[in-house]
Amino acid sequence: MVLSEDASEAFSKAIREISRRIGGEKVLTDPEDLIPYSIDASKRFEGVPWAVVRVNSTEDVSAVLQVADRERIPVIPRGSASCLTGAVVAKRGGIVIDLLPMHRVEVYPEDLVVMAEAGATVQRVDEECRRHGLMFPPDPASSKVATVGGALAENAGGIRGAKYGVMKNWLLALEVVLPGGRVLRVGEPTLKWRWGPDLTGLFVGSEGWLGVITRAWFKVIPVPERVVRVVGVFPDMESAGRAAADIRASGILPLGLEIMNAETLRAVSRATGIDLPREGAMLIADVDGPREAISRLAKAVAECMRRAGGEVTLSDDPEEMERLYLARKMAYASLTRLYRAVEIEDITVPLSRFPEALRRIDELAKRYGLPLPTFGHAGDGNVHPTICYDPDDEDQVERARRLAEEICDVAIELGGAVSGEHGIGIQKTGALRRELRARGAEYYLDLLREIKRVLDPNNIMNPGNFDL
Amino acid sequence: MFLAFIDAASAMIPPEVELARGGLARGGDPLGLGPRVRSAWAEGLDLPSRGELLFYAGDFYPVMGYAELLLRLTRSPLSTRRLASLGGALMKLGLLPAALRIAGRGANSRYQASLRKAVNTLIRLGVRPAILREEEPSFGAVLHTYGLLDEFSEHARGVWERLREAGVRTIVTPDPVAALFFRKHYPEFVDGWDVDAVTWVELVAERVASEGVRLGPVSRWAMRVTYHDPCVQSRMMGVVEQPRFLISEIPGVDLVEPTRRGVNTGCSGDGGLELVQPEVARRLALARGEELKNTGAKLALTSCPACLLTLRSSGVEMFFGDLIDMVHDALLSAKRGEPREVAWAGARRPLRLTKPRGLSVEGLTSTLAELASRCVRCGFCNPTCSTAQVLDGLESRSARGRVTLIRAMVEGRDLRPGEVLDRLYTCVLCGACEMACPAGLPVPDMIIYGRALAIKLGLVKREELGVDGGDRR
Ligand SMILES: Cc1cc2nc3c(=O)[nH]c(=O)nc-3n(C[C@H](O)[C@H](O)[C@H](O)COP(=O)(O)OP(=O)(O)OC[C@H]3O[C@@H](n4cnc5c(N)ncnc54)[C@H](O)[C@@H]3O)c2cc1C
Ligand code: SF4
Ligand code: SF4
Repeated sequence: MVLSEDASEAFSKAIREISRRIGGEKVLTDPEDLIPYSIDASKRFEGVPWAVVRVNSTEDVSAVLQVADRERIPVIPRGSASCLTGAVVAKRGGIVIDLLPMHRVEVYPEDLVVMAEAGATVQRVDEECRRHGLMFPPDPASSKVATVGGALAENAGGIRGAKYGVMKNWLLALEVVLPGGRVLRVGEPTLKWRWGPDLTGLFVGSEGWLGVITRAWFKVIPVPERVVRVVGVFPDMESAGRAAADIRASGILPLGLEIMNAETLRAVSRATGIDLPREGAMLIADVDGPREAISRLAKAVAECMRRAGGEVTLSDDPEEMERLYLARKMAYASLTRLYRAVEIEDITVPLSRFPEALRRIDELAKRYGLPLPTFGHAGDGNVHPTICYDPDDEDQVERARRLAEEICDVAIELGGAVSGEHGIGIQKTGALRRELRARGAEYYLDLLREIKRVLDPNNIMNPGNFDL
Repeated sequence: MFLAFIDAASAMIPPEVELARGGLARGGDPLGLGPRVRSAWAEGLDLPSRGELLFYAGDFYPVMGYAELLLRLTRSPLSTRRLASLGGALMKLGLLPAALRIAGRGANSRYQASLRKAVNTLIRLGVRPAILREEEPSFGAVLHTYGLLDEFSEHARGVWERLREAGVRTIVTPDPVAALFFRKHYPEFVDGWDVDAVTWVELVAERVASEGVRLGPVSRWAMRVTYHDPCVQSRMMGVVEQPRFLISEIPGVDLVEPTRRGVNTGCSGDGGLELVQPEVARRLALARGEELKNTGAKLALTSCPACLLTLRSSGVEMFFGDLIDMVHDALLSAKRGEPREVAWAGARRPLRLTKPRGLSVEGLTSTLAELASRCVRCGFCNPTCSTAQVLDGLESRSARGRVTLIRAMVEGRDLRPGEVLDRLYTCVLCGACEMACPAGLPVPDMIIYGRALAIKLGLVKREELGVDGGDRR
């Protein structure tokens, strides 16, 4: 978006004021600095901001939001820009607030609490906790880049999500700066607290359109005593999905329950050199717990897998386990090495419908004749069919577009959601509308608009996401 | 035509780079010191000047003491840029080399001594290489690193001629950057290139094992040492175990590892950065020096003259030494034992080449467009990026940001080539990004080609505008 001359003059004045208040070295306006800030990992959406401000403190953020709100300048909070939906690109220009310089992490081992500034990566938080024998469970495949702020704003999840859920399950308290510059503290850094409805939840998954998260406090847990990995190789995805549903139904809660189809296995194998089966499907179940119980649990999981037609191996060798963990974590990344365009979908269905969803995805792949490597978190019914196509072939581009729609429709029909963890951004606004319509919940977007009007009356916060 | 380009290019590149290039043109080395100074280390050595195996000293070792002096000067109140502009003029008059020759002799003697020790070590291990003395050509690191690729490719062909005249089939060099050039960049730029190259560390480790040499104790050395892996040696050429083998062979020496080691080593701030972005280079050297010091060792060894230079100038209070010197001393009291067969992972593996589709604007554009289109923008390269680490993740000076800038440049977006060049020049070519990239992109090669393209586009723009439209100065 290009500014008119008047607006441009007003903007320059605002930028001068911000520079004066927080220090000019934190403000970037050269196009050669701005263009690197115009993208995210969606590979499709771009938008060049008018300025980037690299904040060092909550006060810096507050100063920017005060000026920007007064001058009605859009503001986009940004972590590592690893989001896959275009949520972090400056769709309507404005100021990108780069939070990476704010990366302090403090662990309070006696309290089982960790404080992290918004720009610290999820992996760093976990690493700091591990120095104290603790762990921070959320582990998106992008954890070495995903920041606390970005992961909260996307409510990211990961491999350990089957048992330990997503970001919001660990959040205790937040510091958020609102448009106008007001600093808000919601929640308490204690394992329990209650003051009315939990407003931390308002900012989880908000994709940067309500305020800027500057700090967060999370609860953490001791590293599990033992983990055993049970791996099953199945003739097809549906039977692997059945095993997953069966495991969950038998009352066992694996730490992670990951599924990969043959196309994914082949791609990971090729890209990483890790030796994996080339046909069928793989289900990886990690069972954690106290030493005494673990082998009984692992056996029960193996039994579920065998019943569904799987060939099973067990391992607790750390190296072997790390290898497979890496294989799964590298799934999406490996595909990007093999195909020129990859679009990762992110649907979730009720656990009982999981096998059916996998079968229908398989059918869609055949019908559309495009490679559709599929993998995901079977433990929470979240699966990533990943559409691979040639971006220069118009027919393939069109087929990919329709396939994406149909995949979302499968989720909607089976009573699921069009996004499990990657969020809405620009990419999923249409699909979200269809989902809301199917549930008779079209009012939802209006409700969001009303909430936004209270907290962000001038609509400066990351406008354009969710179509807001 | 070609000469016209050279002169025009100096309008785009910063004065520091111009200084180094001028030196190369005048005296055959970046500081313009001339062949006499450069070959001084070899005085008195009785070795042939032709042969299949060549000991190659490289561009840095023979003159590193003079560079150390220059670096100290640039840290005086005189800014690098002013010194460089001044230096450019002095260089033209031949005064800078003359002044350096006089003032830097003392500092240079230890680098020269290391070269002699490197050769003597080989001789003791039964290897008698040829040396070219005053005839040894520069490998052109300055030209390639700063994106002056037309000049580099012409220079490289000249080097090949000279090596062929001397009957060289294999090069052994203590300078890992030279080895990388001969194993990767020469094959990329010289059609038919058929000379093999090996680092001194690799060859010595192989000989010590296969000759059954038992290294002796080295009393005058610290007993607790750490080792800094030069990125080109470890990450890019896979030489990780060999230096550790040599150190562990010396009785009584205890190796303590820094946090970042082997292929995950940390940058000590060279890669050409100390010339163009001294502030970033300084921060990197300081961070790495501190990390090495935190191992508790009194002495950090390494195997790269440029790393030695930056670490020694980092201000960190610790001894920084050359592995060559220690191995040389250990060999003096060595004994004979049983030959051993040792297999090192990745030893002498072939390196991946990124050949440009021509060096014209069109050739570079099409090479870069294809590569950049494969970037999925995940940013996995950024946390490992050396310069991003000391700049709090500043995107425009991180790996992904640079790839994004390059893509914007080849898409014809309205950018100032001089400013793009400035962002690309911050990169230290450490290769950490390439290792982290799930799409397997050769980011450092892209950055070199991006520099070359930015220089060329800048010249086009200047011509169009008549003046210095694309210039950052
Ligand atoms: C290879 C790859 C694998 C991935 N795997 C997973 C996965 O397994 N699970 C998963 O859930 N996601 C995954 N993702 C998606 C993405 O990494 C996550 O959504 C991540 O949490 C985004 O973090 P970020 O710091 O990059 O945020 P950004 O991309 O910078 O921002 C994302 C959104 O959050 C907002 N935001 C950022 N910081 C703040 C802040 N401080 N305050 C308010 N709003 C803010 C932005 O405005 C934007 O809307 C993957 C992405 C890639 C490229
Ligand atoms: S861009 Fe790559 S090669 Fe350059 S400094 Fe960063 S990690 Fe190193
Ligand atoms: S890691 Fe590779 S694909 Fe990802 S942003 Fe960096 S260069 Fe691009």
